[in-house]
Amino acid sequence: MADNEVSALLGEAVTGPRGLSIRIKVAATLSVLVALSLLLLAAFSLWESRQALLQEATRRGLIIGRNLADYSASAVLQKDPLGAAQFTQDALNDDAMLYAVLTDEGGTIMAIRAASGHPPAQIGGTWDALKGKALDLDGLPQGVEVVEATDPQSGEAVLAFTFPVIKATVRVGSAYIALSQSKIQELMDATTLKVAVLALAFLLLALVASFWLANVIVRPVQRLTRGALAVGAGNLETQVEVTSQDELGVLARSFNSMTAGLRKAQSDLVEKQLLKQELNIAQEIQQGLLPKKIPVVPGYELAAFYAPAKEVGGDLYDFLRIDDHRLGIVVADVSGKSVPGSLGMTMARSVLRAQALSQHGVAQTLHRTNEVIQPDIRRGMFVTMFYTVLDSTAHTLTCANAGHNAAYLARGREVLEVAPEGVALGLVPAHQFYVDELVLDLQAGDLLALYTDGVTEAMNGASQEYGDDRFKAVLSRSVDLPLDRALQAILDDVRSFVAGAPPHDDITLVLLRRKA
Amino acid sequence: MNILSIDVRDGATDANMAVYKLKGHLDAQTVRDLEARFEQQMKAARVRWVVDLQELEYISSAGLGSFVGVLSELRSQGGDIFFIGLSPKMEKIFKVLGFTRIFKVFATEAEAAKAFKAV
Repeated sequence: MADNEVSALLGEAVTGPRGLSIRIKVAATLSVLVALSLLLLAAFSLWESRQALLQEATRRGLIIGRNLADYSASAVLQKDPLGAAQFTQDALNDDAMLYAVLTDEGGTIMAIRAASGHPPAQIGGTWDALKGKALDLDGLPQGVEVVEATDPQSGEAVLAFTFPVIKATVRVGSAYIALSQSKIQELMDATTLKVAVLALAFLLLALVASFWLANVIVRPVQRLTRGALAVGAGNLETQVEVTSQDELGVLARSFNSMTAGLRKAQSDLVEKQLLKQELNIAQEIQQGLLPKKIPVVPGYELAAFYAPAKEVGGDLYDFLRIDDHRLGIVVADVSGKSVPGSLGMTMARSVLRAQALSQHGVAQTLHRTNEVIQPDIRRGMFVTMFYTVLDSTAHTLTCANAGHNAAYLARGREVLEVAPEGVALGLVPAHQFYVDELVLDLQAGDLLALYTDGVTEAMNGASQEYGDDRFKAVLSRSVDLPLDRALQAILDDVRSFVAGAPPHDDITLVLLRRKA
Repeated sequence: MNILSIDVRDGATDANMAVYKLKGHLDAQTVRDLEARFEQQMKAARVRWVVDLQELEYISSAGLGSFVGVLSELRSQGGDIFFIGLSPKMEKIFKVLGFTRIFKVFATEAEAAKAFKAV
C-alpha cells in the first residue's frame, strides 16, 4: 500500500502537549486548596487562643476589681485617704495591673496608684473612665463594665474595668482598674509563630504530596499520550503498559486494542488492494483467452455467453478452426480461482490448441493435453473440459469430456444428455488418465448446449440450485427460437430464478444449432 | 459467509487413521482451514485418512482439488485418502470428474479401515 493511504488512515500528525501540563494544574489546584484550609485553620485557632486569653485576663480583672471595691468600701465611705491608698497599692500586686483608682460618690479621686509610678491623674481631681469597646460578658455583676481601650498615657492596649463601691446597698464611690493586654499580645505572638511554623511545614508537606499525587495520576496519561503520538506518527506497533485496573487501565487496554485494530485495518486494506489487483489481472488474462468473434460455419448457427463472477472462477470457451469443415468447440472450468486459476487455464488452452491442430482424434487430443499439463499444473488444480469437434459436411459431433458437466442436445421437445466419461485434466498422470469418445449425428434443428456449472448451480437467495431439470426445460422450450433469442431465453430463466442473488461462479454458455 | 466445520478424530479401530468429518460448505474460502488441518496430520506423520462427506452440503472445485493436492505426498509415505458417506449428488460429482478413478470410496469407516489393513 502506498504511504499516502496509510496517512489517510491515520489522519493528520499531532504534536506533543503545549502550555501547562495536567500535572502542574492538578498539583497547583491541590496546593491552593491545602493552603486555604491551613489558613482558615490557623486563623480559627488563633482567634480561639485569643478568646481564651482574653477570658482569663477578664477573670483576673474581675477578681482584683471586686476585691478592691469590697475591701475599700468602708474607707471610701469614711473618706479615709490612707486606707484607700493602701487598697489601691494592694491591687497593683498583679504584674499585669497598670493602675487602680478609687473615687467617692461625686467622682473625685480619693486614691490613685500606677505600676509605672506616674499616675495619669492627681488625688482630688476627677476621673474619667476610659472609653473603648465594651465587652458584653456573661455573668457580669450588676454595675460592672469592661472595655477594651487604649491607654492614653502609654498607648498600649488595656482592659479597663469599672466597679461600683457599695456599703450597705448604697453606692459610695467607684473603683477603676486597668490591666495591660501586652501579656496577652506576647502570648498571642508566640502562638501565632508556632501556628505559622506548623502551617508552613504542613504546606510544604502538602506541596510534595500534591506533586506526588499528580504524578501518580498523570504518569499513565503521559504514557498514553506518548503512545498516541507514536501511533499518530505512523508506528502501529505501539503498545502502552497497563499498570492498573482503574479507568486509566481500561483506557490503556482500549488503546492497545485500538492500535491492534488499526494494524489489522491497515493489513486488511493492503490485502484487499492486492486481491483487487490480482482480480484485475485474472480478469484481464481471462478476457484475453476468450475468442474475439464467433466463427461462421455454413449450415450452422453459434452463440456464446460468458459472465464472470465477482471472484473470477476461471471459465473458458473457445473455438478452434481445425480445417475448412471441422471446428473444435471447447467449454472448460478450472478448479483454481483468480490469477493461479487463469494461468492454469491459459496453459490448458494453449496445449489443447497445439494438440487439436495436430490432427489427433478428439479423445486423444485430451489425452495428450493431460499428459503435457499434468506434471506442470499446480498441485490440486485441475481443468474440466468438454471438447467437441463439429464436422459441418458430415454433420457429426465427436465429443470427449474430461470431467466436465454433461452437454445437452435438444431435439424436438426431447433433451438428451451427452455424457461420455473421462477424468478431469491435470488430476492424474498419463497412465491413469482415461477419456471416452462419443460421435453424434446431428439432425436439422438440433440444438446443442455446452455450459459450466455456473449455470446449473446458480443459486437463489434461499440457497437453492437452478438445477439440471430447469435447464433442460428451458432448452426444450427454446429449441425453435432464433439462436440469439434462445440464448437470451435461457439466461433470463436463470436470472429470474436467482432473483438478484450475487453469482458465486462464472457463467458460460455456448449454443450450436444445425439450421433447419 | 459459508461455514465449514472440520472434526478430526482417531479411527475407531485404528488409532493411526485420521477420520475427518466435514460439515457445511467446502469452497475456495473454507478450503484453507481444511488444508491447515491436512498439514497438522502430515506433521504428525499420520497419512491414512478417511474423509466423511455425509454432512457436507457443498463442495467446490477448489475443495475437490485440495484432496488431489495432498494425495501424491500421502501415497509416497504409504498413506491414502478413502472417502465415506457420499450422497448421490457427491457420487455424481466424483464420477463426472473422474475422482472415482483416483480415490477409493467406501460405505462405512469400518470398511475403509479394513481396506487400510489390507494394504
